[in-house]
Amino acid sequence: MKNSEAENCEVKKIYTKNDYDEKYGFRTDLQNKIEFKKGLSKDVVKNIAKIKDEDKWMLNFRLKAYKEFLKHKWPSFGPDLKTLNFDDIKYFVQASESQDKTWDSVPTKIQETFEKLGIPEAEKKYLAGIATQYESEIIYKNLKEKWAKQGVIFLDISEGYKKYPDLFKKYFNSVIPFTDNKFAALNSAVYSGGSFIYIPKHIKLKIPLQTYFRINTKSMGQFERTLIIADEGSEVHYIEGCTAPTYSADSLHAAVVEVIVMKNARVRYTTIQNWSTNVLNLVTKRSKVFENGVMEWVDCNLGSKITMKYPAMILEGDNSHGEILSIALAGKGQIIDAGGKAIHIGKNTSSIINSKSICLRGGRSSFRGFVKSDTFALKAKSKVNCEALILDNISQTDTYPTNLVLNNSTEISHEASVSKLNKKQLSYLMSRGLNEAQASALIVSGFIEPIVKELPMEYAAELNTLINLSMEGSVL
Amino acid sequence: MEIFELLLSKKLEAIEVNKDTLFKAIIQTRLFGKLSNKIKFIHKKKDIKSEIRIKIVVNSKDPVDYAPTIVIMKGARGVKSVLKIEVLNLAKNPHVLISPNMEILDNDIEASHSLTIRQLDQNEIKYLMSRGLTLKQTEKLLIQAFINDL
Repeated sequence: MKNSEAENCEVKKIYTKNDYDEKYGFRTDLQNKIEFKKGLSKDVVKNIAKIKDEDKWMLNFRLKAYKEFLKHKWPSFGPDLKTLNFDDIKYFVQASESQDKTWDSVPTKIQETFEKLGIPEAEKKYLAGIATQYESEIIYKNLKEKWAKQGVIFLDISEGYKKYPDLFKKYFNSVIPFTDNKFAALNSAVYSGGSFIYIPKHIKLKIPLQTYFRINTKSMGQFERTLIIADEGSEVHYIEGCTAPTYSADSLHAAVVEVIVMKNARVRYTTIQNWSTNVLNLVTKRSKVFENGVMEWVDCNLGSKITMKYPAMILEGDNSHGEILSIALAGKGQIIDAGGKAIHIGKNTSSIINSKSICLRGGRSSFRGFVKSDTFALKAKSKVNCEALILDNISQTDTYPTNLVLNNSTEISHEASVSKLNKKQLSYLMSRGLNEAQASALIVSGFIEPIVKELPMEYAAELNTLINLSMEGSVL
Repeated sequence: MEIFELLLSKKLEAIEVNKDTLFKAIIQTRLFGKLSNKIKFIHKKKDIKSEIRIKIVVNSKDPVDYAPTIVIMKGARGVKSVLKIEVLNLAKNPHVLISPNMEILDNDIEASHSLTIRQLDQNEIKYLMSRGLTLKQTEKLLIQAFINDL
């Protein structure tokens, strides 16, 4: 066998669709403890509150949100969501008694699912704490003792409300009110699962916290809610990953993530979104950043049928800074409508939005950005950089950046470019013995490298593998 | 390359770019008034080069809402298109809304856009004033230079 043939075989061996299904797209046959019938009503909202044993305050909040959801209009921009039928979704599925404290008490089949995804191994090696959400509920969570002793709180969102009601009520719904958009209203009405995190003053978590979200049931809606409060001078890196098996019917993931970055605090929120291509991923993520605070969103979107996600930062405090690093890969049948928002309110605030997208095999990737410099956001600075690679002539890429300036001391620069794979680079790499697919994958890896290098090593390696999987067999 | 002066006051919704063209426009809001323009530069033919250069001086309270879009249709292979918008924002209470968009439906193309929103350079002001110009003269000179550079 010639060298080049051997390399071809190796590529096929490593990256095939079967491997993808085996690693992420597998299904687990499990009898759920509670599984709601399809459809949404006031009773569904009440039943969720009842199962969670919530008080009147939360029930009223849910019902107000449900009312808002019914009257709120669909988004006026982005992909067509009319195929989404709210009556064809199950709004609550409980696979196991929630909040199992030890890994051994998690049902074996769920254990096997997460072991297959490498979660327990990751926890041992490089995480400060982990939570795993299976369907509607967190089924296992653990925070290493060292951090718990220092006052770090890492709980399921409902547990957080029950244990710390004052802290919870102060910040919950404060960054993303339920009136914000239709899906934030829906999430507020039926939310279940997600994390409540509090980092005390001046505590700096050196290693990340992680939550892994898994949908297993067909036509499932996952509506987790995350609230992160980083108190003054604290630091935290939170990572979320998500996968689901492939079904013919669509599932819905409509999460809400609120992050509060207090004075001098720093939060990095990393997402590696790898939903199967039957999941509609409609997520609202927003942070409020106070004086000298730093917020960083690292957002990698590879999976889902449709994604609409624009992590946002409200730079409220003077000298606060925000960054959004975004990767989007849209393959066959996928629409990834992603980007970011920076709202400058305080003085001397700064933001950077750096987006890289790749589309292939008929996929559509859109960058949608919004930078606003408010009346008193004096000397605000923003830099937006958006690069797109379009790998074939059946795909589409768009950029829709909007810049609004309401004062006369703001500086904004924005640049965007769209191109295909560089022929010279391809020829050079092929002259060095790589075949076309390998050379292309290497160029794409180089293209996203500035963002990938911001990820912890284990996740960077995983992301590169995922991108290679998505590119396997692509027309170049 | 043909040069085409864009009249942003015209409510044109789209221009089909059929030959190599340089589109240019300069606007001072004090003279122009409110700017509201959403225009598409549509490329359907192969191997067309287009460049769109827009300069806007915001020197009045008149709101600016400008959203040009480069569209490259499927089959328009070899198209190279560049959109460059520069805004000099000098008004006290401005309302500047700029959205340079792209919609790309083919891969054998090159397209890019850039936008800067800034004020007059303080170092340049200091230098010119150190040579004896008044602040008013300096600002006038720098605005002229910004416009003439198109």
